[in-house]
Amino acid sequence: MDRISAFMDGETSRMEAHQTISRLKQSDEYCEIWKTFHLIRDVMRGDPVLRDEFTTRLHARMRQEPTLLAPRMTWRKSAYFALSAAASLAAVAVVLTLVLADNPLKPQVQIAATPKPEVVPVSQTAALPQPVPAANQSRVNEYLRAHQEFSPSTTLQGVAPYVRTVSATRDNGNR
Amino acid sequence: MHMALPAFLMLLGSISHVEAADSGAPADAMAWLKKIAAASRQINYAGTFVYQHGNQVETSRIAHFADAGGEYEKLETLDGPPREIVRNNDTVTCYLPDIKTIVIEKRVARRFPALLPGQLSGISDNYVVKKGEQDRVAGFDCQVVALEPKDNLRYGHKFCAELATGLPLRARMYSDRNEMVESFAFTQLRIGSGISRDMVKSRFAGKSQTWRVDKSALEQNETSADTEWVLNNQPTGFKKLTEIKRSIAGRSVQVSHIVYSDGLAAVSVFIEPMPKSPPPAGPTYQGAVNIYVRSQADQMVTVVGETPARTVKQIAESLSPRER
Repeated sequence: MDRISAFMDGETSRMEAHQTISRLKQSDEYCEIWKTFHLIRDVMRGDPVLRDEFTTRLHARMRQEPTLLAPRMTWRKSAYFALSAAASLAAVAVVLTLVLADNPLKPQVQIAATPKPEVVPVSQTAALPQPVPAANQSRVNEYLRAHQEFSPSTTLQGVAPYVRTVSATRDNGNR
Repeated sequence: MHMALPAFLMLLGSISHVEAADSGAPADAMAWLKKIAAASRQINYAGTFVYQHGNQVETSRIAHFADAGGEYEKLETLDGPPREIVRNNDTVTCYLPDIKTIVIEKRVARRFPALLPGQLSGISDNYVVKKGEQDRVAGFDCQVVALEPKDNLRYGHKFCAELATGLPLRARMYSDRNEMVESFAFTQLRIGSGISRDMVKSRFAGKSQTWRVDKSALEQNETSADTEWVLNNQPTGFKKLTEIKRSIAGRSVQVSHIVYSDGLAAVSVFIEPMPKSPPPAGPTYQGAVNIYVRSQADQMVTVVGETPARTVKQIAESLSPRER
């Protein structure tokens, strides 16, 4: 199972990938795990969940296809690392792990589309936004409150323009 | 044959024109958008919703009641330290029971009653508005309305609005890589009948008589003003919404506040004298909001917006004091 999640992350060697694919072709149990992992990911990402017969048909087709591997891509690290560790647990526990893992909504392996290998210059990587440092939290909360009065999209969401700041004040009760 | 060709092309042109007008039924989708904006103010409802951003999931309860006297709203967090926020038209009261404190704030009613024509054109200039399929959220059938950004300077949005009232039951924001940035979704909801004034009153109203009351944010004042700061490289589709000088809690001096919007997303610029211990410059984020800090002419510029980091950065880097 670890092998499957590693494969989904593109973290396996070419040979391991071959082995995983042949096992997927042969073992229904393996396919079932593969399906479950994807289902969990789709649910986590809010993607529409595919109907069961689609997957069954896809697997039937896969069994007939020769194994062809695209050049190895470097996938972005994803919440599936948490999944490898938790693979033996029940699906619910896995979902929880994903929720608790860092950035569960970050991009993950795309299976259907051919992903473009991403080249990020080092300088740009360094400038990726970081979470607001704790020391600056209260200052940012004040900006957020001031900003949200004017934000049309918060109004359109309707539910409550204050949710974001409620969320932000949680660690900041003593303002 | 040659004579017929121009006529054929004209016919083709008119057909494609008709098709363009029909495709995706934008008028219908825009009508839904207006319905959504109005519903969240006018409809009485009470329910539980989940707010998700980054690696955080939070559950809150909300009740909304509107009558001739105005709008009342109560929001309470169901996990973490208890928080209750009660809005009575433009007065917002936050109850913080763990530290026995009440914070009272005045919020100028800026929620737009229905989308204004200007905002509507801003939205259709910058987003492709599409009516999607029907879905089901919290037991109610709802209509999906999608706003797909025309460039990578803004996030995409998907709303699912309750069929009869237009109340948004789910609102999601997507990055240009189609990752979900933020999501609100009701898990349980009651609409219309059975919602009363009592449901929007704080359950701490009685107990809180002896609590500390913080009214420091109540005297906040603001005046529209020329801040003398200009944007040299305005991101496509963003227009200046407002420009004010205001007080902000915790600052002794007035802060300049400029807001840019594309009709849906907004970016705020705050300019103030450089504090003694300035925060690190550069990009940060909190939930779905991107922030960029930089110093410019002895001032600290902070740009905050629910847009991709590049938009916030572009605004931050192209701001400068107007040359005289």
